[in-house]
Amino acid sequence: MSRSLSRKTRRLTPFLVVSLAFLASPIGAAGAVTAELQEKVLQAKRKVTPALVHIQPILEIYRAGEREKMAVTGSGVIISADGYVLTNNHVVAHAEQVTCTLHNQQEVSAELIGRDAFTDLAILKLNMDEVEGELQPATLGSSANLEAGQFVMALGSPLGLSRSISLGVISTVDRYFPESQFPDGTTTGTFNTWIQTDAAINPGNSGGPMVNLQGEVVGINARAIPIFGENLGFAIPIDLVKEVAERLIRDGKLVRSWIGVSWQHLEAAPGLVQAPRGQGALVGSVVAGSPASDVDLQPGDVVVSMDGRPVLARHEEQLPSLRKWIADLPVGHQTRFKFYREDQLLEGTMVTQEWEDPQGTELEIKAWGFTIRSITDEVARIFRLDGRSGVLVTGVKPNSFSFEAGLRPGDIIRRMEEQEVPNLRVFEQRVRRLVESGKRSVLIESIRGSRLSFTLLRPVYNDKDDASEGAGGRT
Amino acid sequence: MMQRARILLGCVTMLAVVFLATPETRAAKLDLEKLMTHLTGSVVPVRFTMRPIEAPAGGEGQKVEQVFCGVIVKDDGLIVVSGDVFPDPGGDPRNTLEPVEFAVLGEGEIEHNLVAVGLNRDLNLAYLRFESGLPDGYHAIQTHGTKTPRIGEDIYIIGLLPERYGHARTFWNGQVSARIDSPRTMYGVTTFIQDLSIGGLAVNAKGRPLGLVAEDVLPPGQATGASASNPLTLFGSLSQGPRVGYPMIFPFDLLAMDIASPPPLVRAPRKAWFGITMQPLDRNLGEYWNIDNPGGIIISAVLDGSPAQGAGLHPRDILLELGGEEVTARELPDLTTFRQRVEKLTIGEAVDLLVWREGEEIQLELHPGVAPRTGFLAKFYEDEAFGITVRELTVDVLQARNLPVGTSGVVVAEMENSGWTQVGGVRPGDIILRINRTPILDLESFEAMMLQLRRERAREAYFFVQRNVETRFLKVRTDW
Repeated sequence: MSRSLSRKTRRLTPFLVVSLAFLASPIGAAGAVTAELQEKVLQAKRKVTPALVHIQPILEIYRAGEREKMAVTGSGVIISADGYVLTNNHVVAHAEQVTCTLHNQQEVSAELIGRDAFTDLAILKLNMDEVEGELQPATLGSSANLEAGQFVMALGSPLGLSRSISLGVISTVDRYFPESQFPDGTTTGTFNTWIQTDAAINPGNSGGPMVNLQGEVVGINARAIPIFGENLGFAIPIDLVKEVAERLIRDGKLVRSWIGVSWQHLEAAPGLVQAPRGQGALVGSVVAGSPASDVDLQPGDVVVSMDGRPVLARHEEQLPSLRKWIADLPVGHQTRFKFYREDQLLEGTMVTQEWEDPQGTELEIKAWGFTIRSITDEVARIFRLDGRSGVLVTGVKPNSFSFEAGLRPGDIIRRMEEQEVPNLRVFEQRVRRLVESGKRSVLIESIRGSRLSFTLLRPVYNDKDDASEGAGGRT
Repeated sequence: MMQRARILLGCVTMLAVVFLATPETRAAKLDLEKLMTHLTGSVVPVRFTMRPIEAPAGGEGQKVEQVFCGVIVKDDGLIVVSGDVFPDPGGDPRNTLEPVEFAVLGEGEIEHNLVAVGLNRDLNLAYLRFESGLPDGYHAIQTHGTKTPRIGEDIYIIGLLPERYGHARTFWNGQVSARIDSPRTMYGVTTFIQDLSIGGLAVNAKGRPLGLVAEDVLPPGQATGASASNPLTLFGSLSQGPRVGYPMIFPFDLLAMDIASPPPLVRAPRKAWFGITMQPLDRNLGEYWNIDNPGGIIISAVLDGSPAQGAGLHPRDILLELGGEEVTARELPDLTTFRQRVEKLTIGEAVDLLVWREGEEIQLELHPGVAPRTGFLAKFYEDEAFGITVRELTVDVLQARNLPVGTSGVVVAEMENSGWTQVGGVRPGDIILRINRTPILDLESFEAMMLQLRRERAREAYFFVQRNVETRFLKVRTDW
């Protein structure tokens, strides 16, 4: 028995030795790789951490007919030695004051230089008088050559926990989402696809940097899917960020061109497309009165070239770059385009218009208990208004006399006291005058849906009410 | 003696047999099983699909389905069924359901579509007919020369069990208990009559048809409560009119004329219409405008192409008089009163309006039009293969969505969960403007397009829809 065992052992020994060697070898290599990765992670962290900013804005929000303040937290990254900080628009939009905490826990106030809702980016400028020592800006890399599987880190303040780092890989470099809206009505994702990562990104990470193992910023963390998903974070590619940041620092805003077309990819209706295979983009919708409608471009047309360059949007992922191409054209640019209408190849020329800020200006009519917004082209389009005169009621304070009188969010105030209301500023001035005069009955004429509505407000003023409190707001 | 006794015993036995020949024993002669098998092709479950006459603006309204028992009475496929579900005219259209689709539920999943051809409001009976003729397996009962029921006569009522029992045919047995001659000749029965025997067939002990089980409906205003057997109680608070009745046998003689020529199904008469929306001129506004005794109605909107627009009425006008009589609406219910006044005007006949505009009184002449079909009269079309139900694009929907009058299309009312159209991205509320390259002008063109796609067994269809302010193409894949 023992001999037998011994024989078996002898027979097995070479196999066991080889097996153990085989197992040991990868463990050894993994150890080396892990050590190397660890070192790279630490180096990258050390490089970018000094540029990390914890942002605490006090937002001014309009809710239920009132202006309120709300403290939030977000993240940012210093991109220049003179104090420019990159972050998300949704972190600092509507901020009336911003405080930034730097990596060394210095608290510095900051000013909002410019913001762009479409790309969800904003630029802050630190108050350099409050900064002690030298700033160490981050190195902005490139998103052009990123690859799925590449290690990246997300830095920021998830749920307010500042100076946090998470590690993961790029899951995909060009995730497409349809344009989506924030609660304030702004649209994002219009001009970009997203870098998807499994590095943990949580609320509060917004605006923080996504960095590669060289410590270069390759994206700005912006969104996550926290419900029904895990490890699904998304960042704005740094190449787009650099371009937007440069224009925001230079001009404070982005000027874009608009032709009034809602595009769809060809795969949305391949059987309707007569254009050469794979070429072109499908016109899904045309805004009445837009440059596209002026040249009779119609839904179902397939645009195959603009200014001699081929238009390619066979798949959804190609739509953001098409929109960006048009948006980047100079305002007033005459663009020649070719398109198929069924099997006919046609040509046309249209002149781009400036893409207006869809949001407009919001204002609180404090003495009367409601909030209003200016009528932008977008608002006029949504409410199917004939022109931009009037103001849009965005909220009415419950139990206020305005609410009791029947004023409601969505009403478009077109006349007050039998006089036209051409715009928000004129409305604000008239409200101030009426509040000053203490007028006790004010006739409001508004459009509700497709019909006219007369509302008689019976203002009740407290002694503390002041004419100067009649209105106040933001743009 | 013994022989006499045997004979006597035999007579007693025979008497006992005769006396004991209760209905059960006679039923054996009738062969109820054979009779009911035979009548399965004549006494049928009829499903009514009902919608609110007036859907809420922009909404689709609820859908109610109800099954009644019907009897095929003619070889052309004519069916008599309770008229309960046909609403009385004049009810609040927002709370009143109107039947829009009818079908006989056959074996398995087979359904046979019916069309409504007549309604006798007096007898509360409706007449429907198979859309494509009498299907195989169905046959009409003989209604000519039927016997007159006699008091005390045994009677069998052939009706249906509820849905959970597959609407199996069943019978109730009793006797004729009363003859009523006014307001019509009809017969009471001793048996308890349940919901799905209303509309059932009454036969005598030989299995010969006698009449139909119906309800003698009380005139409006005389009802004191809903009958337990009245299917309307199932609709809860929906007011279809207080149509409460007592179950009776209506002999076929009573129905002979209707069966020969069903009374026309007359919808509520078309009403006169101005094409305006209004706001009450309440005391506050009256005071503001220094009107001592506020009267009048504020015109809030004038529909494009409406009689009001033709007459020159504008939003912001205040209507003071209609046909020389003052108009007053201080509160919202007053507008309903005014609307009813307008509806009773003669269509096309000029009516004078006195209007206050910019501080001046002006006279206008308006020719009321016919009220256009609104959500509550809208027709629906359901395509089961594509899993979609669409509704006509009516003027009220256009107005609610602020779309130009003349916009063509159909509104998506309902979608089957995970059906082809839902998977393709179509959503309730979408207005379908085109499918592939074919414009969808109305319900008929939509139906024609669906039939074409079905015929071609199309692999894909491209729905061009309006959603909110934008249009878009949606690719709908099929899986025939």
